[in-house]
Amino acid sequence: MDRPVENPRPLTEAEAREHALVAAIRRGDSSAWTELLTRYQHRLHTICFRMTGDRELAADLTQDAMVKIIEGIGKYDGLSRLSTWIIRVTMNVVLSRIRSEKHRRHASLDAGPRDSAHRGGPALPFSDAGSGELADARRVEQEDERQRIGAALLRIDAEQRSLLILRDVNGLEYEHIAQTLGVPLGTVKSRLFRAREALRREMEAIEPDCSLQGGHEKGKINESGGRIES
Amino acid sequence: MNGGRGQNGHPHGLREDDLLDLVEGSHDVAATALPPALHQRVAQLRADRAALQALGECPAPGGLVAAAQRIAERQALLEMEGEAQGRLAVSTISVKRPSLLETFFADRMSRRLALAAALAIVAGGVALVATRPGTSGPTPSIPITTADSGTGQTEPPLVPPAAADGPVPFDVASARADPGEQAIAVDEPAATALTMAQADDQGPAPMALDRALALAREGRLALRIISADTERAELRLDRLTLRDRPADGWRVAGIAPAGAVPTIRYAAPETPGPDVTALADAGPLPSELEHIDPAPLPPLPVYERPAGMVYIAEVRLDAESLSALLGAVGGRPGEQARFEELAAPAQPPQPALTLDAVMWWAQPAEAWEFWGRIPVAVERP
Repeated sequence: MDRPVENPRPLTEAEAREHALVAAIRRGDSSAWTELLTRYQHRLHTICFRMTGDRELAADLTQDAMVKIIEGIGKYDGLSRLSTWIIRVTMNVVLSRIRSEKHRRHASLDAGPRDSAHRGGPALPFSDAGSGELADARRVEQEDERQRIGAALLRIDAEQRSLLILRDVNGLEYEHIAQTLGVPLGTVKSRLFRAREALRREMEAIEPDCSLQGGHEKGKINESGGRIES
Repeated sequence: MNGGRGQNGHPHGLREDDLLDLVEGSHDVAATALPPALHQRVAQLRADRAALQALGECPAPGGLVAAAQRIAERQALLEMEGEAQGRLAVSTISVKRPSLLETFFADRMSRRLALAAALAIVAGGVALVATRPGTSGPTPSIPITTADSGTGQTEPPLVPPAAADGPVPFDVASARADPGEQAIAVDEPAATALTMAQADDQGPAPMALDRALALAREGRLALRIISADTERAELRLDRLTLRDRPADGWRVAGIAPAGAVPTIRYAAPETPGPDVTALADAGPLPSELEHIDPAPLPPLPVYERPAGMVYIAEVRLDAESLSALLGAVGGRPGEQARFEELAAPAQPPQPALTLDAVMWWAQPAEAWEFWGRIPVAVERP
């Protein structure tokens, strides 16, 4: 098993500050928690939201993850990056919740992202554009594409989804993904490629017009696109 | 190679690693001699990756860090308390309060006095009946007249129903589970007081919204959540503090600061007691009883009971908002949420001057909304 071990390297300024914060926390300085968690709150919330597609659930999961981080900081051994450890804790919280509610939530996940857009609210799922004017046709097209990719993301397997989110949304290197998920480096690459293929199949299953309605025509794959079979 | 397929069965001798490199840009797709179909597929995967990268960050809602720290702090305190006591932090003491009669008959002298009084009453009654004209003979006994005697019901004991067997009144200590503060709260009469005068688990009938509204305007309304799983109820309230829903007419402002609402004294619901005025109408006591000084009742024992958290809710003073608040914070299975009347205004801490308050003053009088702050106490049954 080619589990990666991080090479010693000089710390960045941000990492050095985080190490100082962890040291302060271990000395009993509780105010350091505020700074540390504030640094990570948006990143962790993004992971939770992309994994679930539900803002309220994402907030709850982010909060749960933060509590676990606070409770478990004593277990952080310093061998991996602090960010890797924090993201691993968060991803474990999310995957644990998804697994426990898999059967119950299967139907709602199949129906597309659960968010206020489907309840008539102002925000669209996976839309970070806010309430800005969408007069430009190009922006409308981009927004539609973002909704499609978000809906497709929610349809694939949670483990595959986590790989894509860590890699493409969070921008983690393969080594850090391997540490986060606790799998060998080679496994990360092979699973990541399969996750991309799964996402592409779901993208093709979602017609552009159906994406806003949560339509799902699973199995409708464009074979003429030269699909790569594994 | 087997039929043009690579190690993993992909065409053209490409492995998954190679294909991944193509998708993620390590290899130049244009420079790679790929069949058109595969080239198109790789281009699609690259587009998907670009779309994922463009999703961007999703900002966390405000207050998340503070709420997480608060929850972690409380869980740590609960664990410390449990470890220190070696048991669950739930009192299992069942206190039996002696009734008036039990107290009176507790010693031999009292029993003798009671016997003498009974004999005197009987003798006096016999004498009264014997001297009454037209009476053929004595009646066996003269019942003490009560309000219910006309209906033929059994005479109630000379004890308020609330003082019968069962849990005694108890003190619910401060919002912070600090044993030191709890002790202070019990001995501190000047504190605003969360002393429950009646510990009926079933509780009174639900309070009418009109009554609740009137009490809220007086600052004498509390919301009491009774839950076997107080931690779950508190977690829900913690999460509600993250929501800012002024449009609903209510919000949970947070946990009451330590010392700000040390105790809340619930008003005891009015319960019908025996009509002791009828005794006064029966005339003067027999001379044998006049010298008896009723022994002072022993002071009621006060037992501290583990208390849950006390939150502060802000609510617009109208029935609809009160109803919305009640529905939002309570009503879960296994829980009971109800409005309670306070014996005195709780005087929860007032917020600092906020932008909303300034806007409030900037509006014309007809647009003003009146909001109140009421304590929300989470307690075990």
